[in-house]
Amino acid sequence: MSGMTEEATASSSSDASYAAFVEDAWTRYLGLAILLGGDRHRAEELLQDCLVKLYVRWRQVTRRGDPHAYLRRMLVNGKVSWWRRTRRETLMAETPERPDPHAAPADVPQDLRAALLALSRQQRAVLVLRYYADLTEQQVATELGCSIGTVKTQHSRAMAKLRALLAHPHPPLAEVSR
Amino acid sequence: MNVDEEQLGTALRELAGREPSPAAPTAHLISRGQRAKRTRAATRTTAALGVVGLVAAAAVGFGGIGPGGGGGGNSGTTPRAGGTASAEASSPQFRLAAAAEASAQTSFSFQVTVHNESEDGAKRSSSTRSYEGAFDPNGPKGYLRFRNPPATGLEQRLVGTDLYIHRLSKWMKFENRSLEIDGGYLLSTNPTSTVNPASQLDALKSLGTVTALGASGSGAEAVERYAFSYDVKPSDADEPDRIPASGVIEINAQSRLISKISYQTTYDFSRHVTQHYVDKYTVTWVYSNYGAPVDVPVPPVIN
Repeated sequence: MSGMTEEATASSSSDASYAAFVEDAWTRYLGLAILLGGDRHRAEELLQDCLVKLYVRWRQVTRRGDPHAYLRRMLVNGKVSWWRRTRRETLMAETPERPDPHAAPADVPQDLRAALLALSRQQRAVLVLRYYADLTEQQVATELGCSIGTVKTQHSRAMAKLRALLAHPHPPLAEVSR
Repeated sequence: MNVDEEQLGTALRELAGREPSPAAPTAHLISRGQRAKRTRAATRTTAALGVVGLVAAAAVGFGGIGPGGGGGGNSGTTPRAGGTASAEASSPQFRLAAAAEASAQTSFSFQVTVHNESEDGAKRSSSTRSYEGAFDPNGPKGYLRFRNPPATGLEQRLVGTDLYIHRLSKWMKFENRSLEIDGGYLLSTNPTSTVNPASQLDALKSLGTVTALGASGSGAEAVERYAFSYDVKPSDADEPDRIPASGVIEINAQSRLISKISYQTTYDFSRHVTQHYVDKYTVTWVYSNYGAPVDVPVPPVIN
């Protein structure tokens, strides 16, 4: 087999495994991105950017580690960077949650969404990674680059705040647009 | 709502899945990824060529094939003295290496122009960017700014091993980095470039050929011109097997310091992708103000 054919075969095989990964992971990680950021459009944009980066390093990532962990880490870190970049825009642009007359009646997920957005980004990441991505506390600590003690503390505070917010599902704007 | 930890996962999944998920844009992502790979490979190699321009000149001088090219056996960068050196001193490789080494040991200003032409299937595009800066190897310290387009506001400052990058109206600090040009936009990617010329010499030492083209100009503008060519060694499988580079180096006849380096490189990715894709870069470095002080204030950092 010529070098060119080997290269083409390797590239084709790599693309096929990447495509299978994307098909399998897309819905799950879109949900993760939505929960981390709260905005569907930006979540999709972020996920696409992360998946393009993953494509560039696909061979190295699959050879050395777990592409799911790599993508998850990019999403969490990318989300943090995105938050930092757009925080001012968000503060200026976000308006209080108002009932959409065409939307379904308010229910638990809708209240939960508002409550999640009221948490700090680290608290939100802890809860989403713990209960949506089903990671252990140790895995969450690794993903966030912090100690397991920090995860426990943030988790405890996040749950307390979530309970308080959901007991009063319409918090003032100052609490929501942090 | 009573927040039960066991039910939180279910509620989160319900929240995430409230809106129907569109189909994964797999083909679009692969297309974007292929383009990102090609750009990444091309810009990375261009950075290595560009930032180490002076050092590369020394490298081809030491490593050239032909009469007097034996200097490549010397692991250092200092031209050798003695009987052998007298024979080598007449060779273009030796004169070029001596000029490059002397140039790299003192402060200097530089202007860089990067012209890029791409062929992506039937689509053709081109762009030109230029930079200016100064560098003092003693420190080291230096800066790099966009000249064109000027409105970007991007700037790099190097103080010791700390690199400060100005982007989006704020300065950020990066440790153990150096000034770099990334094929047309400023980005820190290669910490081994300017601050460690010896390692670049080792990497490039045995590459290519150099030929004396003779003198041109007169008076203070008189220069000796040297043509060089070599193949850049790809750093990973995503790059073309062969990246040809060729160019001309000019040495000021009076100062014996390098005044200009221009070169062309071609990245042909046709083997890596089914669609024809070729990137051509023409890069010109102009050096001046040798020995002038370089003032680089440490900016206020917001990380």
